[in-house]
Amino acid sequence: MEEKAKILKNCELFRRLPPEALAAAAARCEEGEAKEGDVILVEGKPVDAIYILADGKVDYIKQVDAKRGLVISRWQAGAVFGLSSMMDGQEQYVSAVATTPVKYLKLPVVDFWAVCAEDPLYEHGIYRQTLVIQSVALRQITVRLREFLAKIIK
Amino acid sequence: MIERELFRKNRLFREFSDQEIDMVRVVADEGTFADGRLIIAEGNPGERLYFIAAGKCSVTTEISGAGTEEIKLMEAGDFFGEMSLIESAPVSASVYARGSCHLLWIDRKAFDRLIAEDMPIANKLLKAIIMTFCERIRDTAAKIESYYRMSKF
Repeated sequence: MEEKAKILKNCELFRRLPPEALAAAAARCEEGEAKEGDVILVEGKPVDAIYILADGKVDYIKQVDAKRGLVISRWQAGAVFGLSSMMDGQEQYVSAVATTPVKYLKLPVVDFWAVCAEDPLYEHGIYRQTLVIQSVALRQITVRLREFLAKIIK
Repeated sequence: MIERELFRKNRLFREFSDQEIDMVRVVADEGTFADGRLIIAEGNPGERLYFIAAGKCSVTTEISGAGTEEIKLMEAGDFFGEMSLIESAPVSASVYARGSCHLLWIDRKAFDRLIAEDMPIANKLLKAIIMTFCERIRDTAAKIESYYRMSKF
């Protein structure tokens, strides 16, 4: 349990949670592993959990035609996947693909909301960190967008 | 004080009670911006969260070797400037008035105070911003797909 709480503590999303809340969230997490090339989250599918990357590397890949996917961003230990889809209840906008062997924690959606519901302060801390994570994600996607825009214009 | 209805029309405040909106009204300011006026400049520190009460605003960015490009057109009910307040990072795009537009805004100090002092308001406000971020992330990812296809022609 302590190991899981340490992994959560290293994740931006849980940075504002006190130790007792981290322990409660850790108790709700399941451990998992993926091999290089495994698709952890599939573009176009809804998510049933968020994934906290404990070890290894993952690419976010956007399918641009039937055969080709583009790397939108690259992530390592401490990253969290599926957050935006969990928040708005819509499908994943990219796939999360392991580019090395990966270890992760999986926090089911229902358990995520249970942690938030325990204390408005926990909810507040998680929302603030969600915005930080989304802000970074949006900046990274925008950088890729600019690259394609520059190609079109030139 | 600024009319309550102007806030009510903004997507950020749809779930707010009158009393909660009033807490925002007392710290907000408003102004009219003429066509073409620069409202926030890419690369500068962001100091305000803006709400469009009337009119339209153009979001532009500098594309290396190609100049300025419009990446989004926002209208009444939209808001902008929140990313820099949350991250304390420079503004990622410029925003200009497209035609005359009426804006409301709260500055960084007021924003920080609002989300620090009243937890129910803070959580509603943060959740509403999160939902908008979800939409922006999806829109931008979808644009990558179409820009990629265009770049192949």
